[in-house]
Amino acid sequence: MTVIMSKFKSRTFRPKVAWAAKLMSAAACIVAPAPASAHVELGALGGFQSGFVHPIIGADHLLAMLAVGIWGAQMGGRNVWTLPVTFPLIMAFGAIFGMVGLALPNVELGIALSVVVLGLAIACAWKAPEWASLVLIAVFAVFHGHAHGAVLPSAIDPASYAVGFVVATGLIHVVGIGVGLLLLRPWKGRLSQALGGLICLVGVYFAATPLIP
Amino acid sequence: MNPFSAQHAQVGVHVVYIGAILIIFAGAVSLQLLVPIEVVDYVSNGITLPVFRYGLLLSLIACGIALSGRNRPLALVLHLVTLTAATWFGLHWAEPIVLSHKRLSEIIAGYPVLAAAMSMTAGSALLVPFSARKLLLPILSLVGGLGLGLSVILESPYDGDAHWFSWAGGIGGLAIVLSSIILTDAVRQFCAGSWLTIAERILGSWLIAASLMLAALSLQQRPIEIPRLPPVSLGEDNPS
Repeated sequence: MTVIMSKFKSRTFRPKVAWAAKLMSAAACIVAPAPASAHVELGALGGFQSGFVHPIIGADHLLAMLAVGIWGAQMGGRNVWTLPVTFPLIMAFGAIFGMVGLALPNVELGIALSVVVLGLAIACAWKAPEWASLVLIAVFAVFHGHAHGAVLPSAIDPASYAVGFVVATGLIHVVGIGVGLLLLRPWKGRLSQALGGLICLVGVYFAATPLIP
Repeated sequence: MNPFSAQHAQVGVHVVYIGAILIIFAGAVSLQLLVPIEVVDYVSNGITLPVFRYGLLLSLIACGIALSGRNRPLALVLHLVTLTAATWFGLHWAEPIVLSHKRLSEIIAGYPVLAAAMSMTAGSALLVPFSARKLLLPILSLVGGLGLGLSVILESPYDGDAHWFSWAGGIGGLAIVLSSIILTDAVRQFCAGSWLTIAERILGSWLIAASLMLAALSLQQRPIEIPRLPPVSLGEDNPS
């Protein structure tokens, strides 16, 4: 017990835990008020601001994109940037599919599954081969892009809307990388894995919600 | 002491940047004092135009980031001259050329096409390795300048004092590029190289993603659907 307490009191350990706690509370504050309000936007879609908040107010998008950053940081090496770079690029193609009206089956389920799988990958600290992680990210990015792209042409200023949601997506990835790197050391990465488990559980909830009558 | 050392050249480039920005602000202040209020209106609207066109703004910032850093001072000056000349061309001579070709004017008429072209070039320049970036920078300077000039002209009002708007828009865009170069150079002093490269690549991927969507949008512009209101039933006490 004394050893554990001394670890808590050590100068190198305590600030990181405090920061991690602050970050997790902030994330909880963002996610908690709207647990299942993904894609629910009342009124006409506007421009940049509307596009910017779209990935943030949808908890499923937010968690999946955050998970991409955390997983990349957890795997380390080139994965820190290859995953967050691949996601928006492929997401753009998904958005184009949505814009031209190309139907994609079970988009919402695909998005919920992305949260489950990415959360699980973080929870298991899966060091996937680079090609496998990129393929996985690419498949899920198509679903996320489709959901955004389907509503894009109806926006008042579609060009600014598109730029807004790409920037927000990228920023969530950057925050994810930051959180992932921050949680890499404390308890040998167990905190990061716990966060992944939590993300996975929320994903299961999203996937199961449409099935509950 | 060698007066032409790399360090002196670097200091010289920074002096040129700061001088250019001071001239821009001095110009803006003197404009306010010397010219009529309508002209000040045009200038203020023009200078802030690139700030509120987010695709354009992002591309200009990326252009500045791509031009900053590991370039030789002479190469940087050449790129900036190309950018300025292309902006000048876009502001003054490109419009009649575009208007004289029906098909070209149809393509260019949409702001997303220009923003897409600029974002794609700027994003590619940031995403590729530095050796390949060197080859893309002249194209980026050209496309960036032309895109900026044409974007401003497309939004320019049609009356006697409109040239103030286009001038200010061009100067505002160039100021954004210059500020991005200075800020990136300043950040580079404090930030480890690999993290800055990662940030550049992530920004590059945003720009390419945005450009793909802007290009798709410009190919598939749908009219905004305005919901039809139900017919108004006139009351009996209102004979009209």
